[in-house]
Amino acid sequence: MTITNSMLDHADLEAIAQNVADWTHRHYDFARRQAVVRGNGAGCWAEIVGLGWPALPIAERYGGLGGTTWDLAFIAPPLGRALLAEPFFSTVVLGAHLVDRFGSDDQKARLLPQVAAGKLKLAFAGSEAPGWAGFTDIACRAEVGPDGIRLTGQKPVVHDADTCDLLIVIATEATGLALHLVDRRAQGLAMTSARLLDGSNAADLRLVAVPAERLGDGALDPATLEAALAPCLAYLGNEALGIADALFTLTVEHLRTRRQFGRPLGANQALQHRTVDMLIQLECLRSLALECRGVPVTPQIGLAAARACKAHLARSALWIARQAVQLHGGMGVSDDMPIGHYFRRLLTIDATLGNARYHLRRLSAWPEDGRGALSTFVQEATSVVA
Amino acid sequence: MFTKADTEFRNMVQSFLARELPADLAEKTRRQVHLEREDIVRWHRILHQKGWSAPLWPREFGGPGWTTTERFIFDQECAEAGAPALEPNGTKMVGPVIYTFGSDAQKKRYLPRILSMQDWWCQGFSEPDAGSDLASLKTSAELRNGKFIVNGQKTWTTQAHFANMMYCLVRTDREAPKPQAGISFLLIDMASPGVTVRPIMTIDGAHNVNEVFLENVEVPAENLVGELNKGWTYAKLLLNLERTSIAQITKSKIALARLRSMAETCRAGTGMAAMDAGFGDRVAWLELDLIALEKTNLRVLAAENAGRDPGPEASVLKIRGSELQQDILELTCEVLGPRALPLEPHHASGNAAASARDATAASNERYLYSLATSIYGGSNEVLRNLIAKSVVGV
Repeated sequence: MTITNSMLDHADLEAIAQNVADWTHRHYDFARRQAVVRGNGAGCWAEIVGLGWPALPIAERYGGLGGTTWDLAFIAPPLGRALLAEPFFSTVVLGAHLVDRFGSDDQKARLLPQVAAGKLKLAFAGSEAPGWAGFTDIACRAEVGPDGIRLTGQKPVVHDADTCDLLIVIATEATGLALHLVDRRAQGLAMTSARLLDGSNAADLRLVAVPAERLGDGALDPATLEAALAPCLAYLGNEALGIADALFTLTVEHLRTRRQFGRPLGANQALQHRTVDMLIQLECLRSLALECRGVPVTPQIGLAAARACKAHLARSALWIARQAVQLHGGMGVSDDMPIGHYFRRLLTIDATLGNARYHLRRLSAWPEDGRGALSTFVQEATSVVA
Repeated sequence: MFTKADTEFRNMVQSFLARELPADLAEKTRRQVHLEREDIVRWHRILHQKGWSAPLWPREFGGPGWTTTERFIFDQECAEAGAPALEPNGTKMVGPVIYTFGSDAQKKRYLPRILSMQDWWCQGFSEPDAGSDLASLKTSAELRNGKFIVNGQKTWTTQAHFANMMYCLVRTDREAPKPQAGISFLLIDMASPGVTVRPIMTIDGAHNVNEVFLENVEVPAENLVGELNKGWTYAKLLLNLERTSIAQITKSKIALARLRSMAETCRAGTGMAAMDAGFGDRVAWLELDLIALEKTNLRVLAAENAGRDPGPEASVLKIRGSELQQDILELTCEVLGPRALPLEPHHASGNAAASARDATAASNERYLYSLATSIYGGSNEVLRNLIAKSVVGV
């Protein structure tokens, strides 16, 4: 695999991230987000398209800003903090990336300009087994017949399936795995929708001889597909950092201002020490999130760094979230407060594209590879020549 | 993170170590044998020949004038090559206090002796009734006829039995409005009449620390560092330096690599520990936590290089670094099972057997003594208080 260079340097990306933070702060507060999630308010898709966020990872020749999916990790923390309730991950982070990575020139030229312009929404129907098996256990089959390719099978919990225009479905062919484009309204496709923890929608798909178009050449293997998703893991890790940051700030503010027993909660040493342990976990997560922002030196380093961050967030961000709930008391479990919604988004992130145990096992892959990929990652990542 | 110049620096350090590090010292480190005083002095003087014995120091005082990143690389390469750790009290602690706050005469007298290790320094801070609350210390110093008369008791004094000099916090004003405001920083010759050193055996069965009794010890007035009653300020600088060095991330990385290799030869039930999924997960988490901490360390160094105050992250390093070190060594003992139990031979029967043992031994001692790392240099609980003060601030 080669690595595409970005037209955007880190200073550009930090400036864009600051703009994202400023915009969400001014125009997308928690009250608006909750109204959107409850169906009582207008979403912000048109606004974020106007701001150019979906165009960020798309090449200039397809009407984008010339960045890469790796660059999206820069704007993930403010989007996590804002609890953005739009299919940004499905369409821009994951969908556009799969098209760019595996699509033919023709498919890219057809689809990517529409994503950049906010006119096409995508959803990814990947893993099937309960739990997570990567892409090793795909029962959905693609049959090549006289009238083209037909897909038959089931895909549970496909994020944003019922709001997308085009599904990207992974299915087994004679030659291996392949990604396929499926119109959401295609014949033979049935959906059962459900609300997810994080306020988004998903659907269980049943496909019976659904017409499909193969994305690129097909003949994928599970490892290649998984490796290609590294920048999407990096995005999720950085989104979790933004959430953990927000939870930490809220909790410190609460300890300063909430008074019980005639003094601020934060005057209690037990709570002070808990807060410091939250800070320790937050700083360690930040270190790993920073490592997987922007285009990596090699794909191997990028994958290891992204897996490390994705695994760590279960120990750091989710643990911070539990402390934030506890230290907020009743407010921590109230649906009217953001704490619980941050918690729910983190649970969703952890369960998306493989959880901590999965990635840690892949990363460590020890003793088969001797020293373990983790040490290799450190060795390589710290010997980079600027 | 590293520049081309840093990489050239790393190559230079590596070739120096390959050339100059005595094989017997590297072997002792590999076998985790307790080092003798002479071992540490010998390596220090080899470094001194090269001008590298005080990595922290600026050029004007005889140091190499390295950046924080270069120091990081130097420490990392030394640890990986198996070089003995530098004795910290001289070069990392009292040295910087002397060149920052000391008189010209003190700089001229003591700094060269630290560089060449003619002096071995120990730290006279803790007392029987002043542990985590160090500022409550009682050892008194009264100025009479141009001399301080020092009376009191210090404890947990690391390597006082090797030292010929002690930097010491003493109370010089009992009436000060805050206990911190009545403390001074004195340099005491351990050969002075009235100084008595008694060993304290520690949990690992070894002699690392001591009690130091001070009875009417006469200390020349010119051995006061800086101003009278300002010693607490100087000690704070020193404690910050000490904390960043306790994280010992490279040491933990080496311990983790050792743990992995032991797991390949130790059984866990029917198979080898290395093949045990539960064990593998624990190792992987430790490794991931260690990587996260190492990256945090590099961020702290980058902030220091850029002239920014690293903030509470430096204390984060000490807390998390000591916890991880303990976790790794605990797991090592668990993997070794009964083989973790024998004490290092020289405790019982002199040094002869020490060279014959393999690298698995002494893991229990490493583990047990590592329990002190979350206690010394400001206990992890005191550090949490300090961080909370700056973060929560109520």
